[in-house]
Order: sequence, then C-alpha cells, then structure tokens
Amino acid sequence: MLLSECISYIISAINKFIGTSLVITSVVMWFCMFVVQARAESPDGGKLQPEASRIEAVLDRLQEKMSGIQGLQTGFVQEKELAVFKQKIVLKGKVALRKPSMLAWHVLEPMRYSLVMDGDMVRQWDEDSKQVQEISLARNPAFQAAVAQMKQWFSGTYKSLEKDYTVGMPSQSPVTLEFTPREATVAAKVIKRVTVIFKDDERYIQQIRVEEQNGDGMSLTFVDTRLNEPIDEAVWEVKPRV
Amino acid sequence: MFDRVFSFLYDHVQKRRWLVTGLTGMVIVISLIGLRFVAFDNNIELMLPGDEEVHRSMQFLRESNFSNKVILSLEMKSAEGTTQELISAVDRLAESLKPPMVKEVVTGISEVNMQEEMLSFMKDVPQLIDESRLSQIGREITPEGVQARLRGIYQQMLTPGSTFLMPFARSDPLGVASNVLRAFEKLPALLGYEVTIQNGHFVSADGRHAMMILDTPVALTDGFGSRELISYVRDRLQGLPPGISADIVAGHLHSISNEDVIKRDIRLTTIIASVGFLLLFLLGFRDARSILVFIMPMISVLISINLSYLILHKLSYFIIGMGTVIAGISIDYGIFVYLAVRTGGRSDVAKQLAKPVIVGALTTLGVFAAFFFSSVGGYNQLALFSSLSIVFCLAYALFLLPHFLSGKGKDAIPSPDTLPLVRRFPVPDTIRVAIYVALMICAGIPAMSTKFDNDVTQFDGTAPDIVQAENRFYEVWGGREKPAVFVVPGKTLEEALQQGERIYREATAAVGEENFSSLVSLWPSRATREANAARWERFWRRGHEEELRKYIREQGVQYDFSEEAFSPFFENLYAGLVIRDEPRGLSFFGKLKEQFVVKKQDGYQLLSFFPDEDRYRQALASVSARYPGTFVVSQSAFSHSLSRAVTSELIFLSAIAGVFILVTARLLLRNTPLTVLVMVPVFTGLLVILGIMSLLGLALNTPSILAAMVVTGIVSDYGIFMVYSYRYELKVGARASVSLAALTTLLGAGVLVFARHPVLFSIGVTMLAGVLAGYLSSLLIVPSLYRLWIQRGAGSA
Repeated sequence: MLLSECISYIISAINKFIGTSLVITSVVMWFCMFVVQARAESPDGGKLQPEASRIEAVLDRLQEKMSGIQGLQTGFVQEKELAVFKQKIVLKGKVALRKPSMLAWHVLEPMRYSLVMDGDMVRQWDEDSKQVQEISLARNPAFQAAVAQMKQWFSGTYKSLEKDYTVGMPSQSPVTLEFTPREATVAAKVIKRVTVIFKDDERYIQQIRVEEQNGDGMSLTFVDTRLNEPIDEAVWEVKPRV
Repeated sequence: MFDRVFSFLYDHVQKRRWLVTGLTGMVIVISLIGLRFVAFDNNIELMLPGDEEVHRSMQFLRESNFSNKVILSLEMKSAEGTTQELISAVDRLAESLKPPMVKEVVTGISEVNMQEEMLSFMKDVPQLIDESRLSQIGREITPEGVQARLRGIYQQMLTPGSTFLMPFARSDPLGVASNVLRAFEKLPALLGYEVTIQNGHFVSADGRHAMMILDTPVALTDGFGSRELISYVRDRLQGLPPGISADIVAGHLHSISNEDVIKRDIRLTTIIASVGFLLLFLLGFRDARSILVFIMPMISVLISINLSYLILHKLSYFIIGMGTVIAGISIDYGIFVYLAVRTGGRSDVAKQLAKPVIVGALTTLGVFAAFFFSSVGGYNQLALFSSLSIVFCLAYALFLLPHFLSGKGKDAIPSPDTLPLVRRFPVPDTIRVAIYVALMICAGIPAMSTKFDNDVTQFDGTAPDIVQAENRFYEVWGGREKPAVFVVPGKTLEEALQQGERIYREATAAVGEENFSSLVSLWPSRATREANAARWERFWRRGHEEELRKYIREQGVQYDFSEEAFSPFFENLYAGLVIRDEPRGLSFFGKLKEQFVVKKQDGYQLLSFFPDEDRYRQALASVSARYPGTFVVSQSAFSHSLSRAVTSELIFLSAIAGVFILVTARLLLRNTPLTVLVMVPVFTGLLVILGIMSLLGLALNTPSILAAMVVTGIVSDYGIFMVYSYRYELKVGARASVSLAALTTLLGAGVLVFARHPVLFSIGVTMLAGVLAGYLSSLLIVPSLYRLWIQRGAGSA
C-alpha cells in the first residue's frame, strides 16, 4: 500500500506538471550553483596538483565562500533549445534567494510567470490563468526532494553533491565545474551534463549550461547580481502588484 | 444398587491397593515422559466461535497478506544526524534481514526509472479510457480547444520544471492520461500512511523517521512463530548505529504480549496457589498424608493432558491455562474423602459419601460437558480435558486415597458443627433466613443494573510499551484508522475483475468515488480493456487523428512548435491496442496488485477499500447482498460479530449446564424441596456475582459468564454435600469439608484477582464473589432452611 501511495505522489507531482508547473531537481541544481560566494579569494595561482585534489580544493573554497551569503538577487537570461520548438526560446527575469528557505523565481519575458517557495509551501502564478496555486511540500515528495537538494546547495555543502555527481574542472581560469550525474540516479536519466562557469573573481557564477540526454539544452546567464543586500519584500509576492 | 456396586469396586481395589498404586505410579511416569511429546497449539483461532461471519473474516485476514507484515519505524534521535545517515542505516538493516524469517524488505521505491515507467504506462492508456472520456476528448478537438492546450504546454515549457515535464507533454498534448493518472493518485488514498520519498526511501515529513516493511511467512495467529520472528528482528535491530532507534509495529507483538501476560499471571497464580495449598495442608492439618490430597489434582491434570492429546492430537495453551482453576475445583473430592476418613476414624467411610461426591462431580462435569455442544474448537478441548481431570480426581479420591489414610480412631479429628463465630453467637434459623433474604434483596438491587460489555477488544492484554510504540508510529506516519475491505471472489482474476467492475459502479454510486478504492478504476478487466481499445482505434481512425494533426499544425505556429513536437503522441497512438495481462514497463505494478488482489488455491479475491464507518459499511453490505459470494471485512464490525457470537454461544451453554445441574440433583435426591435447597448456593452465588460486579463498576462479560458457569458447578457441590449429610445424618465432617473445599477453590481461582490480564482478572473477581457467597450460604443458610422447611415439614406431617 505504501508503494502505491508513493507512486501516487510522484504521479500527482507529474500531474501537476501537466496542469501547472513544478520545481524539480535539475532546476534546484541550477539555482544552487548560482548562489554566489561572498568573499573573493585569490584564485589559486598555483602549481599543478593531482586533478582530484585540485577539484577538492576548489570545492572547499567555493563552499567556504558560500557560507557567508545570506541572500542574493540577480537577473537572468535563460536560453532554451528544445526539440519541441523550432527556434531557441529566450526568457528573461529575476531570481531572489534568502536563507534558510526562501526562493523567488519571476519570469518577465516572453510571458509572466512567478514561483515563490517559503519553507514548506510553494506558490505559483501565471499571467494566463491569473490564479495563485499553493502546493504543500509535505504532500509532494518531488517538490520536497527538490527543496532538500536546494538546501544542500545553499548551505554550501558542495562536496556532498559528489555522491550523486562526478565533478570535473575543465578550466581553472575562469573556474569551470562540470557535473555529470552518476549512473542509477534520477538526474542521470534526464541530464547529461551541467557546466558551471564562474566569473574571474569567483564572486558569482557567470553562466550555467545544461545538456540533456535527449539533445535539448539550456543556458542561464546571470546579470546584475547583488549579494547580501536588502531585498524588497515585494519580491516574495507571487502575484505581481498592479 | 449403587451402594452395592460401589462397595464391590471399593473392596476389590482395597485388596489390590498396592497393585493399583503401582499401576498409577507407572501411568504417572509415562505421563511425565509423554509431556515432552505433547504439542501445544498457540493458535487463537481455536477459541473463536463457529459463526460464519467471524470465521470468514478470520480466514480472510489469515490468507491475505495484511497480517503477516511487520513495520519498522526508525528514528534519528541524534540532533546532528542527517536523513542520509538514517537512510544508510535503513539499507544496512535491510541487508541483514533474510529468509526464512523475512521474505522481503521494502524500504521505498526507486525513483530512477519512474519517468520512463510512467511514459511506458501511458502507452496503455487506450485500454483505460472509457466511452465518456473519449467523447470528452472528441469535444476538445477543435481549433479553440487545441489552441488552449498548446498555450498551456508552452507555458509549462517556460517554467523551471520543463525538463521533466516535456516528455509527458509531447506524449500527451491533450491530457488524455490525466484521468488515468488521477486514478493512480486516488488508489492509495484510503490505504493510509503519510510518507514522502527521499532517495527512494520512505521518509517522514520531518525527515527524522524512515519506514521499512517486512513481509514474513509468519501469521500473527501463530504464537510460536511470532515469538521467533520478533526475536529475530530485535536481534537485527541491535546492529543499528548509536543515535538511531526503532519501533516495531506488528500484530505479532500483540499475540506474544498477551501470551506473556497470561503466562506471567499463570506463574504467579500457580505459585500463590501452590504455596497456599502447601501451607494449608502442612500447617493446618500437620499431617504428611495430606500431601496425597495436594498432589491429586496435579496427577489428574498430568494424565488428562496426555490422554486428551492422544484423542485430539493437539491441545491449546489457553485450555491448559485453565489448569489452576480445575486444580482448585477437583481437589474438593480429595478433601471430602480425607476429612470424612479423619472424622469417622475409618477408611471405609468413603462408601457413605460416594454418592454425594459422585453426584457433586457429575454436576461439575455437567458444566464442562456442556462445552461439548459448543462450536468453538477450544471449548471442545476444554470439555474433554476438564472431564477427564475431574473423573481421574474422583477415581483417585474414592478408590485410592482412602486406603492410605489410617482408619485408626486416634487419628479421628473433631468436626465442628458450624463456624466458630456462629457457635459463639447463635442465631435462630428464622432470623438467619430473614437476614439472608434481606441480603439477597440488597445484592439484587445493584444486580439489576449490571452492565454487559461484550466487546472482545477489552481483553487485549498487550503490554503498555507496545501500545505506546504504536501510538508513536501513528503520530509520525498516520494510518491509525484502517479501512474496511470489500471482497470479490472469482475463479479467475478476469472473473473477479469483471464482477469488481459491476460492483465498483454500484459502490461508487452508493458511497462516492473518493470513498471506494479499487484496482478496476486503474486496470479494468481484459474484456473492458479490449472494448476500450477497439473504441479508441475506431475513434482516431475515423478522422480525429488527421483533425488533431491539422489543428496542432495551425495553432502551433504562434508558439513556434516544431513539426515533430508531438510526434511521440502520434507514433504511439495505436501502440496500446495490444492487450496484456499487466501494463508493460511498470515494475511496481506487481506490488500495487498485491494490495488489491489475493491469490488463493481455488481462485482469486479482488479487494477494494473504503472507510470503516457504519454508514459506508451498511451501504456496501447492501451492495454485497446483491452479489453472492462477496463479503465485507471490517475490523470494528469483526470485533462486534465476535463478541456477539461468543456471548450467544456462552448463554446457550449456560442454559445446558443449568438444566444438567437441576436434573442431576433431582435424580439424586428424588425430592423437589431438597433439590431447591441444593440450588440455594447456586442462586446466592450468581446473585452476589451480579451485585458485586455492579457495585465495583465492572461489566459482565464473556469470561465472567464462563466463570459463573464454573461457580454454579462448584457451589452446587457444597449444596449437595450439605443437604445429603443432613438428609442421611452422615458424620463425615461435611461442614469442615465444605469449608476446606471452598478455601482451596478460592485459593486456586481467587488468586486470579492478582492477574494483569483482563480475562484472568475478570474470572478471578467472578469466582471469588460467587464461591464465597455460595459457600457461606451452603454452610449457614442451607441447614437453617433444611430445619425450617424440610424437617419441620416432615415433623408436622
């Protein structure tokens, strides 16, 4: 009976995809990678080290920097190349994050859509229906899994991601991390590779690219990122003010 | 003639007493050895009445896979501990749990292939869509309808979730599968627990608890197996890391706990009774020969166990548990003979009291023999076992015991004619009877408001720590209220499914779709799926396919959808027309089916679930009545049925026992007034039982009815002995015998008031009140009534 219940949760989550929309693991993964570290450290001018220990050192560094970030706001430009569309879709919008558990994702172009997550609740709105939907994380394991991962990324515990991803570093300048899902993980079924490129000063992420198993792809570029600055409370409202 | 026959046998045995003793000794030794080979049955079903509904429900619960499961709830107690550490502990524990004790361990579900499996399942949707849904789809295939759908898909592609959403949108642009997937969602809605999935494991909402389900081959009615199983699981739990604890939730724990409580109570009561007996005989009489009386019931019980096992081939633990009660009863015969010999100073005085002792034994036998008429297997065992015990005790007391009690005059003991207190403060018979009547009225008033509680669940003696563990479990996981089950049988699964569909329509009309969960709502019968598939094919091939392609092409332009955007839908449009027994690619379907389908030797049972509430039970009982062979199983209704069946069974048996006592007494005494006198202790005992229970706020229940039946058998012996000794002016120490007999019975049965188990406690209170009242009335009132009524009446005549 539990098995069927679990399936139903997942199905209900998928159903909600169909009817509405849902934050999922890959998105959280993207977000988490975008949360920018607080303080710059001078990049390691350094000597060549064995690959794994170099990556470990970078992860440690990034993890430490992240621990100082309590909140951020950033604009984004997202380009999606999906087989279902003839041409690339370009989205523009804003993202806000506040520890420990608040997230706001606002799409401004080509159509308005908002999603705000606060603790156990997710609320979403779109300009078409103009309705606000509320989803409880406690009753949605898929959502909850996403939040759990999110918390992990936001807590700066990058190293814990190594159990689900192999981490490569194709470039040290700028720091570029390549995350490949390990076999037998949910992400591996969908995601081929995630590449995160940091700015030269490592203060924030410049771009993230996701390649999917089916050939689709996405890139997310951050602009005008502000760290630890006061966040207007209107950002946490899912429905835009008139 | 009776006296002649008994005297012949008595003298015969007396001449060969050492041979008889030797043979008895051999039988005892053989019986002791035989105990090693006696297999005791711990199956509680042996104690269930033969009510059809009760047995059907028990059989269903036994054959379904519900009662065999054990659930473990692990908790991360350490504040620093993480959910991942908890999950790792779950995995290690799961690996350590192996056959034969544990058939399978379920710790969660694998999410890895979930998306693929759901997409694969969606290909079978053509078989699952009924006519009305197809018509609805037809109405949506319009330019406006398609445009609305495409806009929704476009929006979803822009959201963060698009990666996982896309395959579903491409495979089902019209949301055809949404109804089917909704059925999936509803299926387990009534089945219980509130779980989340983390890393493929069952985890609580707070992330601090994980659940494991163990499938075992041990039925919870199997007492020995349950103990082994729980011991095995507890042993494995020792390997959990520090900071992680586990609660076990299983019906098996209740079986074991009840048995442990009963065993503890039996040990305690046996010790108290044994010490009491020993002190009584050694210090009270200071006669080593009194040991011969003390060991008498033990010998008879020992022989009876072996003989009963030879005849029945199994014996229930519950019946053996009645041993202390039977020991207290059957020792009476030895006491009567012992005191008669000691008082009379001759061993052959046993011949004088053979008749009243035998008749007394017959009335007691009558009570237990009534259980032969019972439909409960355990009661039949009780009847045979008790009867044999009483017969052996009687034979020992009358034919063996007297020969080893010295008949010399110097051993004679004085027999007081009444209680010391009464001797000191004599009360005229009329006053005594008047006081008695007044007391009976006083007892009768509260007796009239005695409540009757026949709910068998009150007799669950499960230890508090087990109940607390279950409460903790339900607080974390929910699922306290178990659903009721609607069972549809069928020789084949297809037959059950087809019948299930007809019932589903009626049932959902009666109680609502949200209150009736059935597999047919998700995976109907083959016949229905074939019809659906044929309808689907006709629907699309008659132009709807082309129409839809055209509208997607036209309306999709504004959203820039590619030509191949929805090719997965069209490529698989007819893929689901192949009819299979199970949906392809769904690895968890087998597990799902397990909850809703039971395979039996002679067919299948399709299970549907609904809330276990009166209104739904009644509505669905009406539906069931229209479909022969189907039935409803409800936990709450089951306990009511059981209570009702047990109570009516006992009332029937009580009536038989009552008639038997009356007839036997009348046959002995051949005099109605004397028979009435014999019944005075019986009447007194029963009235006082009811009065005391009412005053103590206790309700009469099935164990107390059972105990009251035994009380009638015991106190009728006192009445018979007293009346007979007065009638024939026997000098056999009647008063002392009755007093000692009552004392030993009170020791044997009254100690049950110290028992923790509610059944044994209830029996203890009943017997203490009934035997004490019966004894006092036999000693104080029967002689007065005899003098006032019988003697005076004979004098005036």
